[in-house]
Order: sequence, then structure tokens, then C-alpha cells
Amino acid sequence: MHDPKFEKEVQQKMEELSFNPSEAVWENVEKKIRKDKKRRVPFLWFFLLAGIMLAGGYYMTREMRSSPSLSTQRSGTQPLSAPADLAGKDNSVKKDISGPLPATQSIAPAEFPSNASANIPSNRASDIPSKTTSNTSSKAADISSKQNDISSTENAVSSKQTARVKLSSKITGRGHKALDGAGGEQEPQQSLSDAQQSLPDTQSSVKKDIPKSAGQGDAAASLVKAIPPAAKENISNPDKKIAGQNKSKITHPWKIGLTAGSGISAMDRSLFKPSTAAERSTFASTFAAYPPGWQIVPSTIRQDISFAAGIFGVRPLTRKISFSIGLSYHYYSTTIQTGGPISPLPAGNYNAYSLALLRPTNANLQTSTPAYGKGNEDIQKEQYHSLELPVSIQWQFTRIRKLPVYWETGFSISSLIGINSLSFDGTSGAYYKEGNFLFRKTQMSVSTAIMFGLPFAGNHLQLGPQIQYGLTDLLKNNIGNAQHLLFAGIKLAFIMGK
Amino acid sequence: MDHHQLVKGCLRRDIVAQKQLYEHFASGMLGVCYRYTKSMTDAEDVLQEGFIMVYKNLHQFKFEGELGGWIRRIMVNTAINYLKKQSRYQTELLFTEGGMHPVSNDDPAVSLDAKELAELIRQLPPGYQAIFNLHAIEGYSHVEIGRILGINEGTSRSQYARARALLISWINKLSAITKTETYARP
Repeated sequence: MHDPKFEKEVQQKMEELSFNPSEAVWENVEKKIRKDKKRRVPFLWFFLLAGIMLAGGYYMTREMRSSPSLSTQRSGTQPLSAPADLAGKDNSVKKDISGPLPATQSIAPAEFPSNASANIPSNRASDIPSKTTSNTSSKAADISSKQNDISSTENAVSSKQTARVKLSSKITGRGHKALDGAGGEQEPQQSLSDAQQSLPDTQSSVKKDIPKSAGQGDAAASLVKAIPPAAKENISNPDKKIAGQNKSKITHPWKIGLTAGSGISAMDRSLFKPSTAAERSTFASTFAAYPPGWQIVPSTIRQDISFAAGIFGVRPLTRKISFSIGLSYHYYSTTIQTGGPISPLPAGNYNAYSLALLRPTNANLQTSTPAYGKGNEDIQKEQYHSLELPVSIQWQFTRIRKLPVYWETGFSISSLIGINSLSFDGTSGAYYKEGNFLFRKTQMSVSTAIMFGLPFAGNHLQLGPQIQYGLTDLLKNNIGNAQHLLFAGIKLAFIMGK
Repeated sequence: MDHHQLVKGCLRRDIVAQKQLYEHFASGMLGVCYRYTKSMTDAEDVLQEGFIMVYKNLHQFKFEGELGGWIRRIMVNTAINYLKKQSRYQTELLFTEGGMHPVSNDDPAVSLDAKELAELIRQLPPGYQAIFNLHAIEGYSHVEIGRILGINEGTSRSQYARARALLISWINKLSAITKTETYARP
């Protein structure tokens, strides 16, 4: 057997082989590994946040539907019955839904006016079947519409072609707009199909201009021949043009936009910090002496209107992902049922154990503090005015250019600049308007939205549903369930500029 | 140098640890890359890609073997992939199914130094060069080489035999020239 002495020797020699690499190697390696790190971290965060938001949104929607039973669970001792008016509303809604649909909503085929076809002009009516059957002729016209689009933009049509162009422009006036309008972002094929829709009116005139001796395929070929080479390239590579336009957008990165939103806001007390067993036990022992039916838990906080308005800057990061940052004002409101005003304040006010809503301290409480008893005589509105700094990432996840859909997710840091809210004292069962000192002014929230680019104004107008959830507990040193502001509504965004 | 700590530091994405790892292994690994390529620029490209792969896959290193050996395997794989990707190597990596070529029993003493020997290996056609490196230096079997390069075991054997014979003839010639020059010197 062969003894690999040679190989061993070569191996030994090659172990000694070493060279000093140039500095550029490490620089490139370092650049690459840092880039990977940077790229990974924000995306992980955004997808994590978005996942949490979607799950939270789903959970909240479910919770809001069953809010009376939720408050019963929180109280731990006293079940709360759903208010009569709400029950009534529910029933009326059910009735509305379960009632028969108006007869006018369904149109039987027989009800379709028999003279409808007579209203179609005779030449059009005769064209309808020919449009569906004579594919070759429609293709010829289709190509001629392409020719018109391109030759008008290139502005280089020979005199021989001019006649055809005039003819084509008659046919495809819409095609022009579709390509040139809306910032050039329309799908060329869609514009061609638009042009095709307008075909039946003039199809016969097209046929006249095509030499009778030539077959329809020949006519199409002759039209294709007439297209200038540069234009042909644009036909075969429509994406090239679009890609170029998108590139030019990225050269002007930041755009300013206005945003507005409207919907409902609610107070969530179920996520993040549910009351512990110990707290529930303390509550139960403290209030065991109260007679049954004593409403020691606060009324359910109900949702109310909310709106927002602001300004933002947006910058595309890639063709599909953009980053935005802004400043906006957000108004949240909720309602709560109380009894009538009470004066003076009940004795022994401000016990430390106010389970669901309240607060650790009785400091700063004045006898002049407006207070309301328990009950359902009055509906008090609680209002929160917030100045927010939203930061978000928007991802376009559909390729439909006429109706792009974006997924937006982000977070915001906000400051509560005005609060008009009641606080509940579990001992006395009274609600107090005691000012802002119980509230945490700096809030952090996450949001997600599905935005639809509206098919006008160059998709600069976006509209869609949005959910925003406050991550921070609204109250300082809260011993009970944490309170989080929730907004669900419709968001509108308008990006200015071309 | 404690490789354990170094790896842990790299996994924490500590840039100092990453640089230390690079500085410790880069020169030796450039020698490996150099043997597989035809120019220093290509060798540095392979080294760069190889180290990126190292940092990317370091979490897979289980301390079951030498860190240097693990990095070396990555470098070799990166080099082979590089050769497959680069068009200037591709044509010459097309292995023809030649007849069996017996491995000569010639075992000349290698009087050349490491760099001279490396230069001779690099003069081999890329197919020969890769197979010679993989078998003679890295110690891969012909079955493994066949799997790596996508060729038959027999092809690997015969190509290796040719490469070996060619290299030995060059070594002998070079040694003869060196001897003659030595004798000719006054």
C-alpha cells in the first residue's frame, strides 16, 4: 500500500502557510456583521409589537363585547347587572338584525326592465358580442392603443404613423390618462384594459382603417412595426419606467403629511395587571360587612368618542417600507354612571383599598372637591387630552397599484396635557373629581393599522382602521387592575407633495 | 487565548471579541484560501465571505472540536462555493470522466518552502487544485470530495492522481534547477 509520505510533508508545509490580509477585509466583514445586526433588531421589534397589537386588538374587541360580565369578575364580590338601557339597546339591535330585509333590496332577474337592452345604441349592442368573440380585432386595437400611449409620450412619430396615432387617440383617450396620471404609478396593462373598455364605441371605425385585403393579424403586425424602437422597449418593459419613477421618489425622501382619526375610546382594565388573588381577598374581607346589593364597585366605564389630528413626516426606506414620525393631538373620552352630587364629602373618605379604579393616597383632598354618589342617575364624561409623538413603519403588502394596502405599526410617546376624570373611592362608594395628581402624565402606546391607498390623488390619501393601545397604566401606584386607554377607529392620512 | 470566552463574546456581538477572533485566525485562514484560488484578491474575497459565515454560524459551534478546525472547514467550503460561483473558475472545474490513473509511488522529499510549494499547487488547473487541496491537505476521502464537488469517487481519484503526478514532476524539476544553480554558484 502506498505510504502517503509526500502528502504528510505537503500537509506540514501548508500548515505553515500564512499571509497578512489587507485592512479592507476586516472593514468589510465588520460592516457586514454590523449591518445584519442593525437590520435584524428593528424588524424584530416591529413584528413583535405588531403581533402583540393584533392579539391585543382581537382580545380587546372580544372583551368590549362582554364588558358587564368582565366588571363582575373584577369586583370579586358583587355581580353587576347590565344597565337596562343597554339591554334595551341590545334587544333593539337584535330586532333590527333579525327583521326581514326590505323587499327592494333583492332584484329578481324578471324585474329587470325589459326595455333595458333597447336603451343600448344599436351599434353598441351589435358590438357587444363581437367584442367577446373577435379576440383578434380587439388585440389589434389594443396594440394600437399601446402605440398611441407610447408615441404621444415619446413625441417621435413619423408622418406615416400620424394618421394611425390620430385614429388610436380617438380610441384610447383614457389610456393616456391612465399612464400619465396618478404620478405614473398606474399599471400600464390596466390602462390598456381601460382603453379596451372604451373600444366598442369606435371599433367599427378601427376596422375601416385596417386594410381589407390584409388579415387582422397582419394589421396588428403592421401596427407593431410602426412603433419606434424606444417605444417598443417601453412596451416590453413597462416596469422599467415605473422602477425609474420610484427611484426618483427615493431621492426626495421626506414628505410631510396630515393625519386625522375618529372612533371610540375605552378604558381597558384587563390586560397586563389583573388584580391578584391577595388583592381580591383583601377587598372581600374589607367589604364583607356591607349588606348584599351594596354597589361598592364602580360602574362600568363605557366607551365614548375619540378623535385625533396631527402632522407627520414620512420617508421611504425601501420600495415597500416607509418610516414616519409625527406630532398629534388625541382626545379620548369615556363615560361612567354615577349618582347625584353629594356634599359634604362622606366621612372616612379615601380608604387605601379602592379596588378597581383607585388610588393610593388621600392627599390633597379638599372638602370642596366635587363628589358624586353611587347610582345611575347621572352619566359623567371622562376626558383625556393627549399630545402624542407617533413613530411608525408602514409596509405595502399588496401589489395592486390602484388600491395598495399598507400595514402600519408603531408606537407613540404621549403626554396627558388635560384630564377631566372621576376617581372612585371603594369605602364610601363615591366618585371624586380630584384633579390630575393621580394620573401618570407620560404614556406609551402601540398602534397598528391597515391602510388603503385611495385610487385618486396619486395614492397620497390613505384610509383604514386603526387600533391604539396604551401600554402604560393610567394611574400612579394603582393597587388594582391597571387602566389602559384604548382607541379603535378610522385613520385618514394625506401625504402632501407629488 | 481562551476560545470559549472569545466565542461567547462574539455571540454577544461584542465587536472587540469579534475583532480578536478575526486577528487570531485571519492570517492562517488566508493561507488556506490562497491555496484554492488563483490570486490574492480572490483569496481575500473568500476570507471575507468565510468570516461572515463564521460569525453568522458561530452559535452552531458546540466546542466539540478545535475552533480553528471548525473555522477552517468553513473557509474550505466557502472557497469551493466561490470557485463554483465564479465564472473564471467554472469552466476549469468541469471534471471529465477520465480513465483510472494509478497513483505513483514516487514520494520525493519536498525541499521547497511553504510559499514555493503553495505557488506550485496554485499552478495546477482549478479542478486538480481543488481535489489536491481537499485530499492531500484537508484529508477528505474521495467519497467526500465526490459529494462536495458533485463528481464520482473515481473521477476524484483519477484527477488526484494526475494532479499529484504533475505536482511531483514540477517539484522534481524545480529541485533540479535549484541544485544546478547551487552547483553553478562560485
